[in-house]
Amino acid sequence: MGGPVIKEISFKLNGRPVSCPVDTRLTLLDLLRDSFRLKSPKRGCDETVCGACAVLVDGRGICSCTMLAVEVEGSEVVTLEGLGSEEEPNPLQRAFVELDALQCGFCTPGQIIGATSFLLSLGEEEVSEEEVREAMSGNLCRCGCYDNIIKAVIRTAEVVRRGEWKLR
Amino acid sequence: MILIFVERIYTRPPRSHNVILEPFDYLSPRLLDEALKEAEKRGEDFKFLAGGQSLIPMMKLGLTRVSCIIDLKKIRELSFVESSQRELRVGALVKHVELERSPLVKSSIPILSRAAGAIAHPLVRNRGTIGGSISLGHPSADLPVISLLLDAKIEVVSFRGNRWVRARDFFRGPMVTDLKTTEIVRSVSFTIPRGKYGWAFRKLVMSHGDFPLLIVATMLEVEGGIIKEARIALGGVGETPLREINVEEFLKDREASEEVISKAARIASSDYTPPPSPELSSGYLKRMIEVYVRRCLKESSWRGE
Repeated sequence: MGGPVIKEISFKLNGRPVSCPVDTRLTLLDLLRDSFRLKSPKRGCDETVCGACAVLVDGRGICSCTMLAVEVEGSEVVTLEGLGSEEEPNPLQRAFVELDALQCGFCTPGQIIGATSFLLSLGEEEVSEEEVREAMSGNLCRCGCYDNIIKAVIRTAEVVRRGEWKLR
Repeated sequence: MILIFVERIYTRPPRSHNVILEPFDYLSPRLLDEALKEAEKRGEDFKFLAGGQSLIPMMKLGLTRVSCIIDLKKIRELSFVESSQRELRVGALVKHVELERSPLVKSSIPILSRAAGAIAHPLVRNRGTIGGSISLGHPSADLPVISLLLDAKIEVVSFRGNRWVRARDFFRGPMVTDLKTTEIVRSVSFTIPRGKYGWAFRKLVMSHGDFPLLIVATMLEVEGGIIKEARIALGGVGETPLREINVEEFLKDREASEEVISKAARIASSDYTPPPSPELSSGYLKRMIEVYVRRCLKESSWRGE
């Protein structure tokens, strides 16, 4: 077996074009946390169960623990850091705070990403609670804040549906 | 806790969690021909990568070791959904989320859309592909079960040409399929069911999004209270997903009554002794086959009437 294989990749990270060399064995999660020092994607289960590592790749939420870093070549990656800021939280983040949709906060970045992915896919129709529960089912919260998380997502979905917040 | 200091992170992954240990080359051709040619050249020690929702965890656990990954995701020609009067053809790289939402799939084969939308959870569906799921051939995976139910044909290509394999000949054992190393699934073709039929799809999971322990998919064509045709596909009960031919034959030309359906469900249950899961005993699962087949058949019969 030979030595490490390094590939040069370029992609868009939170709106900025970036390039870096990566070991083919690294996951996207390793790359974001360790090379780019973005700490919002969390290493939870590390096997596509908990959703704590979720990031948006080309507008869809995915588990960054189960994607090779080299696979993002040419894609657009958005982490929580690319969404709102502490001073200016976006409507979804505000709803999370106002409705108390978190306790320890470990899963929250993943929850926000999972919800954003859902909001990006919304059509004209009103969303049902059942639909939101299914949409958020990939994000586990061990503090058990599900009810408030669902409420926050439903509230934001209404905001998006009324055209008061444009995600794209 | 032991902290491992890593100087140059991109050449040495940390060891505090599952990491892929063996270095491998990574190629992402844009044309199918290029990928197939590369495969032919390499012969053995490589793997094709699609959505990676099984392959990457397997590599992280050290269950799959290869010296090269050929990523198919950049190959545009593998991502399409098209239909004619009789057939719906789905390219291998179509993601579960796309299958779930496609109006074409929803209107022509609703059970396919339903099953795709029931796979794991959205973060997996956003990435997993139909070709990947079929190629892996897990005995309790949703799309292999549906492909059997619908008598799908699977288009397999290699550098040397292409061939069509019927779903029932494709799955050979637990995660063993008819695919050779240098071959890939190019598309899956489903015959659009005709006539007035009802369908149902149910699965037993320990918690939402978990790997299914049992999958039951059924289709019933009922005319004037009589079952004209019955199809039952099961996942998780044997070494491959399978069709319950026994019960299908039993149901044919019988009345779609509660009594007949209950009897059919008991036959289905008596036909298998599923392996125990870490959580559930074989006996419990056997009983669940009866319950789930009965529920599915009932649901199919009222949907079809």
